Amino acid sequence: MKLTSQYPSKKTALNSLSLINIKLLLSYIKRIVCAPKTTTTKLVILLFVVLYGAAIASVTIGPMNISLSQSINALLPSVLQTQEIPSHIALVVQQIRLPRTLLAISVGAILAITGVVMQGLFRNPLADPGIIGVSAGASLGAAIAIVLFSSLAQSYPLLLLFGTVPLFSFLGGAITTVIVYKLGTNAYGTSVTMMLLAGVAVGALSGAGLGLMNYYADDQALRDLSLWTMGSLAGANAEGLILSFSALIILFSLFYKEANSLNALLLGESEAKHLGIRVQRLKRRLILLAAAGVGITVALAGMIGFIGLIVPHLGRMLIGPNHKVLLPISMLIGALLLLVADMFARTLVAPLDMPVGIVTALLGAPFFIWLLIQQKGRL
Amino acid sequence: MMRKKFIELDNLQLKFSKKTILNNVSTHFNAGELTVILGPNGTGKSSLLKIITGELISENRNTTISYFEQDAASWQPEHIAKHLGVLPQSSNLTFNFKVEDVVLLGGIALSASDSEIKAIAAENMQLTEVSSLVGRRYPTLSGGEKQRVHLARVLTQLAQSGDKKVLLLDEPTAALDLSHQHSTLALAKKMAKAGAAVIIVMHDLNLAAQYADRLLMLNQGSIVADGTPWQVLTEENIVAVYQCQVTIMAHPQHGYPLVLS
Repeated sequence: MKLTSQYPSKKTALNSLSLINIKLLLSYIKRIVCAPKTTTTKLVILLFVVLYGAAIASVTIGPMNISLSQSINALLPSVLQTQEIPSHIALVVQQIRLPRTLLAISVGAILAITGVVMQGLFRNPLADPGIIGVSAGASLGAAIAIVLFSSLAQSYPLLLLFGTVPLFSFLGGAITTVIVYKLGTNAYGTSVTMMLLAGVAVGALSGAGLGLMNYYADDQALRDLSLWTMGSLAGANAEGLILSFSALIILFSLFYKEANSLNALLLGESEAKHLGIRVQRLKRRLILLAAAGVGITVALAGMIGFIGLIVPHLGRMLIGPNHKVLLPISMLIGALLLLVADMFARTLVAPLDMPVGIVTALLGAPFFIWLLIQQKGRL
Repeated sequence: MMRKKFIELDNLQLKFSKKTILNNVSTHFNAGELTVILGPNGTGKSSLLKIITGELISENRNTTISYFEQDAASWQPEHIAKHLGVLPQSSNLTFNFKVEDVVLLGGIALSASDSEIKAIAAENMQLTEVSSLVGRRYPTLSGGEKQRVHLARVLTQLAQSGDKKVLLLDEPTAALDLSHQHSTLALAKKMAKAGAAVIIVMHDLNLAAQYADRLLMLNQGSIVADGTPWQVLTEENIVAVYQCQVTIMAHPQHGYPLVLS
């Protein structure tokens, strides 16, 4: 706890945050770079450290001024606390900021690995659940569940969280993925044009469906629905975290098992077949898993776009397209990116809370345009 | 000596919409033989390769296909991948793998440790003369370099094939310069001499004549000639298939037929 004594709690949270992160980062970078390890291991360690720092920062900053030492103490069991924490501060840190931070980490990670798998599956670096309409399909599924089961939800909120909403958004995601895949892919790979157009069409249809659901929804359901269209991490709670972290662990291990097959798939479907991969079975499995990933994130945090697009690119720039390393690296970058985006969402217009989907779109849309420019002439 | 039939095809039939691609084709490919499949564009050469690999399915119920004298249907995909390697005409790989990582992808078919696969890949990269490209990004390579990288990948895939090895090459020399055309075909020939069945689709009649043990000439979905280069590359055959007047003469030093057009 040297950190807390070094930076007195009088400083504003934001100030101490930036100072600490830079100092911490530099010292860790030095230590990591000096140790003899592979680039990937170094990068994983570095990302873990930065993610940890960002998580601490995320718990510390927000509309209510809470110092770093207070927030760290509030997270410790009472025996380890070095200072008395007022109960309202403890409440904000433990019940609001910590769950939200953890939700950002898990949802960001799921979105990123799902993006990696979709880009591998489509053999196209422009595939992203948001752009090709899968998120829209998933959120239509979620909206249908909310509207249909909204009266049930008031008496059994857990049923909605663990049951119908994730299930329906998974189904919505799966159906749209299959439609876009069938429309966009032929024996020679994916046609970018067809894939994007299919995404537009499916997205428009889902948007119409969402509008219809809005029209039919009662007041309570309407409030629930607004979350889904923009994407927000404000609804974080313990049950949601259990769902998202178990989904993350399961999806990551299943995706990782297929890392070699995904690599082979990048060569082309015929080439993957020649290498002994059962391509049809692999594609079916990946489509369902990716749809499950999108469905669960949509059920928990609504439509958060572009994480699944940007992160795999950053990962490939750092360590190349080999899925064995790309998946873990992207998982960490995704967690970090959404966490930082959410910090912006909470602080930019504080004390108001901007939907994080707006921040990721502000970051992601220009990136998408840049990618399109890169691909120009190849479309 | 009777050579083992590594690939046997009987009664292949294939149509795309109304056009007949392959019409009742039956043939086989032997161990230790380099066979070149010739024929004008669109005569079913690539389709024939795709039927061998199982990517296209013959439309005739009496069709039988066997690998190494066993029914093709009895081979599991991961099992046949160890014995049957395919070099595609061109690759759609756009992701920026390093050259050595592309070659290592061949190791997916192997049952070996990572370090063993690395050693095998390095050896094959030397054979196809791409060792100097290690560290380069695949998309930055020229067409010919890409082709040789993929050949190294396919050879890596076949590292555990033992004495059952089939190599299918779809226009392997199309993107290569003269010296690499010869080194690639010489490598294929060496593999055939070592007991593999090598099947190559190619357009260059003279290269085919120089390296092939057997030529198979297709026209409009049927086999029109099958035999040694001297038996197949006759003026009559070439006029009939390519509608092109040629003169055939023996190579002054090596004796194989030369097609002068």
